[in-house]
Amino acid sequence: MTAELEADLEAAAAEGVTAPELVGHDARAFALSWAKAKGVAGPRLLLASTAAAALVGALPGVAIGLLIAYGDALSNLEQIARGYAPNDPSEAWTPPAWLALAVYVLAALVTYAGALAAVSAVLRWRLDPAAGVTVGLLARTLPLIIAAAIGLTVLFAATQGFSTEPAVVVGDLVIPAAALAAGVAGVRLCAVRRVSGAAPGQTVVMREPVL
Amino acid sequence: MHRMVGLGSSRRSQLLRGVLDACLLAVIAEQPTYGYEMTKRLAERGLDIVGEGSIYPALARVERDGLVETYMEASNGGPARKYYRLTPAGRKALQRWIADWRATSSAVDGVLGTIEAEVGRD
Repeated sequence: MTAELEADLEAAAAEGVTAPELVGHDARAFALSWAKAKGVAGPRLLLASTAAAALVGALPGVAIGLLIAYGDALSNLEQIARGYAPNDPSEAWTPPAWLALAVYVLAALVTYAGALAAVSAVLRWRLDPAAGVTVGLLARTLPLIIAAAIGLTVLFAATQGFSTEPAVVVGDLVIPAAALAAGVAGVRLCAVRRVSGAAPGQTVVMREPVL
Repeated sequence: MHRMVGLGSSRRSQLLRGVLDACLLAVIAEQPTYGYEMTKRLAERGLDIVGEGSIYPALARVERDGLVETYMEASNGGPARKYYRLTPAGRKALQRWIADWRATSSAVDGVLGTIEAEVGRD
């Protein structure tokens, strides 16, 4: 494509025809239209990369949530503050419900922001033409995906009696990860289809004069 | 008035969308040629509305469909140019498109021609 265009531009220039006169003023639209007709344009799906980025980005938030759920971390905060663990159980500090809720909200926010930032970074690093659409779509749907992932996990845990057996804990980790990955991959698929459908591929690319 | 000129240009470009591939095949059928030369030859025949690189995606499509084939040929002092020539499938496609165009233009003429004189009097 480059060689063909270079030769044509040179022939045109020899006759006083400028590059915009030959290929239009919107070089990007021209290049996209041509590349699409050639079958070499259009965003790649990158489903695995996008899902993996979301999982890695979500890890810090998930870690916070797991610490609270399994590590009794709020109670441990008191021990850290005191410098020792109380011998008498009655002295043990029970974290208020609002604090636990606040930490869970914080975990959800960190998960959301982390997943979104990681997906954005990976797609932009790969110069993906659907990066903006993917991130925009993900920003709107990720809360639902995360909610669905949590819901499925709680459902699974409930059926197992909220056991802390290793097999159940593994399920508690795999299920939300799989749900998040599947949800993000689905969003990515929608974004790529949307971008592919909107890319210029018409027979004639005309620019109407502003009159 | 300017708005009407703009609409006319838009209408022409819309009409051209359906026949640009056929026009390109026709130009190539006359003589193997390269992209810029095709733009010039189309413009010489009044299709100066073809521009802004619109022939390149069209050429890619007809090449992908096996209607034309390409070869490189040295130019005078410049880089080698990519020439397009018709394939047997392209020649058959051009024959079909010419027949389609004749039928379509005849039918449209039949519709528009009956009213043209009357509209022209207004």
